[in-house]
Amino acid sequence: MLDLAAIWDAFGMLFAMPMAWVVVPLGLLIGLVFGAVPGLSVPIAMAVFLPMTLYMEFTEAILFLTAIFTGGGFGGSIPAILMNVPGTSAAIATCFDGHPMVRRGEHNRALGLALGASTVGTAVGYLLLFLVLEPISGFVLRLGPSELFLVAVIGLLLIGLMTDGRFARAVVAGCIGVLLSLIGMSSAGIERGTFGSIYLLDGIDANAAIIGIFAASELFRLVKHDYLVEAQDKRSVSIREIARGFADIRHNLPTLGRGSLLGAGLGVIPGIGSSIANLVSYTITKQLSKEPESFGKGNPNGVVAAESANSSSEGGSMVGLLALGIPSSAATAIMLSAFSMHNITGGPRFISDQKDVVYAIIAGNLIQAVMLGIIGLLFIRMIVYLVRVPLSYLLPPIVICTVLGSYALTSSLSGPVTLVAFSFLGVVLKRYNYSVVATVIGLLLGLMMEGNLVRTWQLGGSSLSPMFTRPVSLVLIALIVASVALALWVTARRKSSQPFRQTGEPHRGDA
Amino acid sequence: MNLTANRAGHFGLLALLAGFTLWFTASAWEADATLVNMILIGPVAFLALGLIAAIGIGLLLNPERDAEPAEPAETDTFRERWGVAIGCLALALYVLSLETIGFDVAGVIFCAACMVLMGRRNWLVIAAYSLFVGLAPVWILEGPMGIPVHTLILE
Repeated sequence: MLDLAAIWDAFGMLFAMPMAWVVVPLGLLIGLVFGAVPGLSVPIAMAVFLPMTLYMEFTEAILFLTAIFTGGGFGGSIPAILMNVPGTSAAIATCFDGHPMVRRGEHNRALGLALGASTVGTAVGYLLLFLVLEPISGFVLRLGPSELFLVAVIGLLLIGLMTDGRFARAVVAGCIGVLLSLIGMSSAGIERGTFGSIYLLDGIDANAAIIGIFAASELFRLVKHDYLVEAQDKRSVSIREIARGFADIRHNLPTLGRGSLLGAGLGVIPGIGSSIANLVSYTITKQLSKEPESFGKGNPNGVVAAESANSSSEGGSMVGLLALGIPSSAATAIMLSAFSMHNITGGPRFISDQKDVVYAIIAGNLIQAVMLGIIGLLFIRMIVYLVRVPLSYLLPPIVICTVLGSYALTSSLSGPVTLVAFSFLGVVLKRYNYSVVATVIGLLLGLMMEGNLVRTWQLGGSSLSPMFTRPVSLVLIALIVASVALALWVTARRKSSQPFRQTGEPHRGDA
Repeated sequence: MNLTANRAGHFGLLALLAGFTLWFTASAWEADATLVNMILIGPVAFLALGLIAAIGIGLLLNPERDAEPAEPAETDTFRERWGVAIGCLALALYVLSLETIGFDVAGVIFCAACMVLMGRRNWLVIAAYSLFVGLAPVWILEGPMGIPVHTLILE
């Protein structure tokens, strides 16, 4: 239940900390830049600036780090929209309709829409955190390994739903992603597929692989073009259009609400939340739409669905950190480091003993969402000029930054080599309409799936019985069956409605 | 059988995916054949191989399927026709040369080569821009971010 006295104290605490309002805009700007450059990422930004938080009060430090988190969440959508290159894995679904809008010359509106959805999504995520922090944390504790495994399976199957009749190819791509993620030493110390190389002992670096399969392979496609927007008369830069796009979210309120709720709910799930929240929201919005065929071709609802979900998942991911002391992502893991640097441990005790601090963090983030709207508008105003820069000037620094970013992630050449290998794989998979999104989701979730499956086996006394006896698991299994049935139905419908089609046009949603 | 270049490429991709799946499964089996090690690898590999076989059979039974690329080739200019292939090659060469000629020099050469490939011919602009784009990110990586890299020019 809400503690009004603690909320009052929290606001008093916030406004007694002028330094917080200096570090928050700075954090948002850092996050926007790191999110917008493919190859850099929010966890890198947070890790680089983590030492700075030693010189801050605890609440200021957390607000600074969450500002980077929030800024990076939206920053990742900028290259997704402008170049079809997601800055972060949470921005994958933003590409599907955001980039086609750019190709139509609607870059101002697309970026404004994404910012509007991100701002509202972030606010809704934290508002829900305000209201249901304690009940949600109790529910998360009840999710066992069997449920986490099944949620990951659903995440993979949802990709099949987005491929419009390429379900088998999407599942193959997802399986290959899962197998690739299992290369390296297992938790039991067994080496698999390493060729005896020490670089592969820790497995394939998922970040470098994602940059390669998405960014590099997409950048190759741009080599054939002169500008991001080919038509010269559509390369306009208009703050009015950006602001109009921002305000246009009022026409997408159901999508916005659904995306925000889904994102906040899924963001709670450790290790999965932000990566699949945007995909789940996009898929559901597409399936519920009266014009599903317009998705992947520049439907504004697609941008709103993806952005509202990935932004609100931030609030959801904070549940584990604040209520349980368990990080659910790389970003919240770094925040946990800030907790320990200030001798604070998250968890139920933290919430009950320092409720005012918890509420101050949440309230600070609500104000931060408003600041994101303002700073984001100014940032977009500058960055949208990229549409006027010839690609011959734009591509080389982006490729160099992605390669150096992958080197920074691994501190060895294994990062850039992984990037190159996966960029080739991305080019080939895209050519034959195999979903690279499915491969990426498999890569991200494979190791976690194996760990949870093994734990389910062990908890069940050498059987998978917990998966078929726990009520939540049974609901998830029903969802899996429904997802497969829906995907097969979509495949059959596509084949019957377009019998003349020989090769199948590449679906934007198939990225 | 209608074996166009595109269909041959698709068969090649299926062979590659099946080969990887078989090799990785065998590697995991050799390392440890217990159920705990194979609990996910086994079913996933089985599903992948089954679907790859089904897709392959579907291709054989439907000679028109994937006969032509989904995106028709744009063959107006050299860049449109060979841009992707040359881009792949340039990226591979850039990465392989990082430890040999240094991150800084490799970046400068890569940037200049990309600009030339994409139609720039003003050599002064190419030289100045490539120097900036090649050196600045490496300096940031070494300096503010504190990540040591092999360089030829930058200290």
